Amino acid sequence: MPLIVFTILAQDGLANGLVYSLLAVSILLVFLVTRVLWVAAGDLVILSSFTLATATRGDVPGTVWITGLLALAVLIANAAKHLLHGKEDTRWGEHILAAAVSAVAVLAAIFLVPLNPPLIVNVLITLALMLPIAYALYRLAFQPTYSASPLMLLFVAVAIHYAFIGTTLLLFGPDGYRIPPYFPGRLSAFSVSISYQVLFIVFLTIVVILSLWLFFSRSILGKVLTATAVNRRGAQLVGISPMRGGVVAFVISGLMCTISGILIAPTTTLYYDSGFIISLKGFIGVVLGGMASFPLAAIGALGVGFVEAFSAFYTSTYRDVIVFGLLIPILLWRASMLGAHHDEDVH
Amino acid sequence: MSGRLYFAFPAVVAVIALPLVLPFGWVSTLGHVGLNAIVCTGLVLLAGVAGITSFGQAAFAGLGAYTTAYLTARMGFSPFVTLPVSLLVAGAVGWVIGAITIRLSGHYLVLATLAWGLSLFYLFGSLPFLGGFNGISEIPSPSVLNADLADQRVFTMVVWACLLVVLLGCANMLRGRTGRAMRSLRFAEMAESMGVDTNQLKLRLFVIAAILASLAGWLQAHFLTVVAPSSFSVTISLDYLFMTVLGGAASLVGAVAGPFVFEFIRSGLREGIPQLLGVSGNFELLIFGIIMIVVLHRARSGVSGLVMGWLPRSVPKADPSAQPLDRRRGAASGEDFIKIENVTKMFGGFCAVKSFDATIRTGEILGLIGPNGAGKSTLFNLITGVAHPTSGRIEIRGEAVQGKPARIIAAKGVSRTFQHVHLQPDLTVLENVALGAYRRGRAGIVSSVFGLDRHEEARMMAEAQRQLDRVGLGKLSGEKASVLALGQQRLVEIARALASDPIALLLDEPAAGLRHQEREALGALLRQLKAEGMGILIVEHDMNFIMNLTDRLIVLEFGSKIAEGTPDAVRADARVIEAYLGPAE
Repeated sequence: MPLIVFTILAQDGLANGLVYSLLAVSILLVFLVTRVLWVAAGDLVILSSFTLATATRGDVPGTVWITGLLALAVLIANAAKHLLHGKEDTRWGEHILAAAVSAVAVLAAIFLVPLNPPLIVNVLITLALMLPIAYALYRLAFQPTYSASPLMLLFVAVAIHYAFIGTTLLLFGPDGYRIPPYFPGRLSAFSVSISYQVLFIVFLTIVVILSLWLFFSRSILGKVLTATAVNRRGAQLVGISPMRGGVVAFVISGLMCTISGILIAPTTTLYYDSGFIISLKGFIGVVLGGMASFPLAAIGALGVGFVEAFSAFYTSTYRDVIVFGLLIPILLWRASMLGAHHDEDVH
Repeated sequence: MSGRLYFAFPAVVAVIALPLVLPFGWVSTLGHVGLNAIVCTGLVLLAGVAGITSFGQAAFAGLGAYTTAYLTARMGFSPFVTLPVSLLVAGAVGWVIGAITIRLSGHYLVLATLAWGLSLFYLFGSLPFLGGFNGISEIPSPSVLNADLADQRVFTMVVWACLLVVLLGCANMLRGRTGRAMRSLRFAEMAESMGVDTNQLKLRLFVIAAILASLAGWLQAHFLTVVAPSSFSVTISLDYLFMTVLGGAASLVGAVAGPFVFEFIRSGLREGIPQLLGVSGNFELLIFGIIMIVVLHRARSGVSGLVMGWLPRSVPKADPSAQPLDRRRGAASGEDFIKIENVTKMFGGFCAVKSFDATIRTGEILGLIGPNGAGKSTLFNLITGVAHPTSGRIEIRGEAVQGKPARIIAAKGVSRTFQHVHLQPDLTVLENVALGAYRRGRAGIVSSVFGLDRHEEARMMAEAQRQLDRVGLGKLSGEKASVLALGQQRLVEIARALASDPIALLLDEPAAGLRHQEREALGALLRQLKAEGMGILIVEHDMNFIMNLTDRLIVLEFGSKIAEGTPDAVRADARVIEAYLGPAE
């Protein structure tokens, strides 16, 4: 393989692989804290990249509907719970904050986006539109079932995935989206040229991973999450509500999915139903990490990016067969390392 | 379960005749529902019975469809020849995939089914001889006596006839000896202790589900006369799963109800929404997802869960005139049946059992006591094969069994109860006890499906009833196990253990939760069993109970034996008093 082809493929692999690894980390976080196999993570990535793509064209993204309606639904659901069951809900502050963020995001999207603001403003609007969605999804769909079996939780996640495909198709249509690179041009050194876009992805991934690490090791909320992830029952016994952890995990995961969407928007043409496959590539990383280790999950997902890029070069028709076929030996290998003790019942 | 099904069969027969009178549009819907119900029946076996969620059933349907499409359209074989080939190919692939992945636990298995579901789908689309993403067309449709399978009415009737046969076979299978074991698969530790090879049974269910899906694939290929990969994607597998959840995975009724409700909601949305909102758009998937979430929140057991309460329930009954099951050649009283020599169990750096020796003799009641955390339960698990010793030797009649799985040890005549009761809550008390006799029967899947196991079933049920009578619960045989009080559940466990015709009976805290009279009755039963020559090991906290009952006592503390002897000798032992009451002042 000539060096030039190699570097192009390697950069492709790196760019996609890093996005997958952000996704893998976010899926693993949700899984460890809530036991949900978050298959709709990829749909959030798609939604985020479509939102940004629409906004950069100066059109109001259809996401405003999702953000607005979900925020309303959370408020109504809580008001109903309050009135019907008289339940003392101490989280009103949180709900109102989420509703306020949603309202600001929706208004900003409607009034600012058509003025063709700088890219960074559109990115911020995208983030502000997406985060309340992740919050609302947990509150509406997963909090009422937090004690259900992992299988039920998986079904709920799949149902959300369905709803997302439908919504995205409805709001954005069946066409593919792709935006021009944020930083065009290439850096040439030693007869190798690297696009600035790839360097940007590398830089941003490092920033995200570092801030996550700081969050988990320094903040009390991060420690709450770690405690819930390591041992749910134990965390509950020392007074940590699993729902507290659940909502934080979903919001952080939503943040990472949004960033993934923003990063992947210029590198790949995406369609409304690409989310599932993207999620699955994240899952391969999660499995490589033994469904427990963040660094291994991230490295594994990075590997998926490379395998994908190189197998696309050698045998493009069998690319996906190779990528998903790889998952089976990896599963067997990881499961055999765990032995018989890790028997998480799924029924 | 089976009784409800017999109730449902007339309805299915009526549906088979329906295509003759229904308007054409409805016939096509009915055909699709039936086709989906065949696949969903397999999913009920997997998800509802074995506790395995498969995201790959559409891929198996694809294997059946592509096999026949290739052989008939490209090679010129007759469709009648390719039916068994299609089923065999899917069955064989299912067996290979299952043998590799079925041992995976929980989430790993779910992800594995996704992985091969996707891989097979992409293979269908990329193998050149399967026609790529256009698939294979011009598949001939089989016809008999002017009835062509490509005809909508004929197709629908054939599909529902197939479904009827499939449902009958599955209901028969689940009712029998192997079926009871299958329905206990979600309680693997208990099932293994009753002598059930759980992995092998799971694999068989997996293969059956693959064959059912491939039957649907074959029917579909010859009806549509084209196959394309898009019909066998993971999205379609997800549809099947949702139908099963909607219908209720816990019963075969759900396998039929689910596809109906699914189709009803879907077509309702497709036609109703544009009329209602005056706009056409893809609201279908969105609203469908929301409905699914609501169903999962509000009615987790699906449609059949709502309907089941109304349907009559047939309860298996015992016929006392049935010929008794053959008994194992009993051991002579006073034989050293189980020998434990120098057994040590480490959990990481923690030593739970340290250099332990003991002998369990027939015709003797041996008690094992000790403070909480002394290692009693660990020892229990080591003897029964649930856990394996780090070092040392365990012999049953001179044969080393350490490291052997629980079902092998059960087969050698060791039967047990559990400290935390392990009954199958959905089965009746009688069926639970009959599970104990699993190893004493022979009937497999095939003889159950064709109803050839009636004679043996009657013998097993009679044996189960006999053991229930023995523990004083004979009247409760028709109740669901989950409605019994805890003490009664413990007695059911003892009856189940006795149904296996054991030589040694290992009881883990059998008297906990029993009232005084029940306790007396249990004591009398155990003495009688001892007189019959059974060896009994009993772990118990109730000192009165155990002191009066046992011939020999072993006291454990921190994993080591600190005393052994007659109850009186142990009661007087200084170290035992110290262990229980603390050092003397």
